[in-house]
Amino acid sequence: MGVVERHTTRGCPNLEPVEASGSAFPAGLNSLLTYGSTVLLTVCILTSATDFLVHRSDPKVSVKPAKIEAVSRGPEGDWAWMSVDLNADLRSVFSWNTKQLFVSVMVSFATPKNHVNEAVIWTEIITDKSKAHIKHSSLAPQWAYTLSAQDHALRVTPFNITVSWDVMPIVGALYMQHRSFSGFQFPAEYFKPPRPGRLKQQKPPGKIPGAVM
Amino acid sequence: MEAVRRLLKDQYQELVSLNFRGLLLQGTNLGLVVTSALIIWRALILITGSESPVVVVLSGSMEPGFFRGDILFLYQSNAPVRTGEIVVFKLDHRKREPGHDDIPIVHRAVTVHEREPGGMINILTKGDANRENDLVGGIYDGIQWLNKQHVMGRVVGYLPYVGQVTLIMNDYPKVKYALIGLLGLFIFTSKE
Repeated sequence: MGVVERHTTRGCPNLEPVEASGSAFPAGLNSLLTYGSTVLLTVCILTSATDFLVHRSDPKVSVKPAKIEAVSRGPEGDWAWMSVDLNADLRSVFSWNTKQLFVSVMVSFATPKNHVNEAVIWTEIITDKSKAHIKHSSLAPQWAYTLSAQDHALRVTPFNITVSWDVMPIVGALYMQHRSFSGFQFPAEYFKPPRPGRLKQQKPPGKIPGAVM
Repeated sequence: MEAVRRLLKDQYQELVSLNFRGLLLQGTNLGLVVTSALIIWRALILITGSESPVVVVLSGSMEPGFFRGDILFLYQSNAPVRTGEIVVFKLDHRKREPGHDDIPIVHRAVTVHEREPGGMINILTKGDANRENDLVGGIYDGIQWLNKQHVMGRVVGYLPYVGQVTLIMNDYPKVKYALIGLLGLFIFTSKE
């Protein structure tokens, strides 16, 4: 059987035009797919490259603490509660390849135990260029975040506030930019607001429990 | 359907028409394709420093940034993790117990405490679309902080949709075997 097949396909290909075109089909499909994906990948790389080579941005950012609402002693370390005044014009950061900005406000400080403590207190996802001018006075920290140390050394400690934005593309490389502001200090005494449990905070709309890939 | 059947028939005839030398040659071809794929993967691991340089997103906890079926490229830098960075971490402290799998998770670092430069680090993460951080959300499975050894890399690149193929193959193993078999057959019977 095999021998016969070999003779028909190999021996006289010119007499079997159907067979010949049949075997050419997968090769054609293969090269089409290869070519197509190469072109697509090249376009993606070039698109991402424009973010770094062509796009210029001029973000204007300012942030300062509006009110330190509490500095207190917790079981595992000091914690604080702080609202900020934020003005960030990030409209120029958007390029044609920007899907969204992930904007976060972060407080950083050094204590005897840790040379670096960083705590995000507020974040926002911005998917629309027209909404990329964020202006809030007395912006309350969000529910999901905590500002705390791992030792009892928050009093009189100087801190910085950093606004950073993670630029997440439609396709290609991600990059992050930030502006830091220094010269702030936690107060010298522990204090809580007169009615504890009434700290101003924001609850973000909840969604989706688990989280894997 | 008729076209597919004819395609397969052609491939089959191509296969049975091979003599021993041809068979050997095509076998070598197939081996070459498989090993070069392996070499590329290993080289990527070497360059990026991450044990899995390319991953597929399985859940929606980072929406609308990353959706299920998107592909992420990771890089394992020596620099310590800082807040705002999107890290991929794997919890392996309970992997031997039943009911605990060690699927990698991609979330954003929101709190960092570091003892001394390059020293012991504590990281807290949160999914962008999640209401709670991962400790409160119960993802850490018994530990309180992530450490350096949990972090498999940081997300540096993004390619949408392409990972859907992987997801389909995972959900329907038959599709996977059919696709692998078909690809192998094509490579085996292709005339170079």
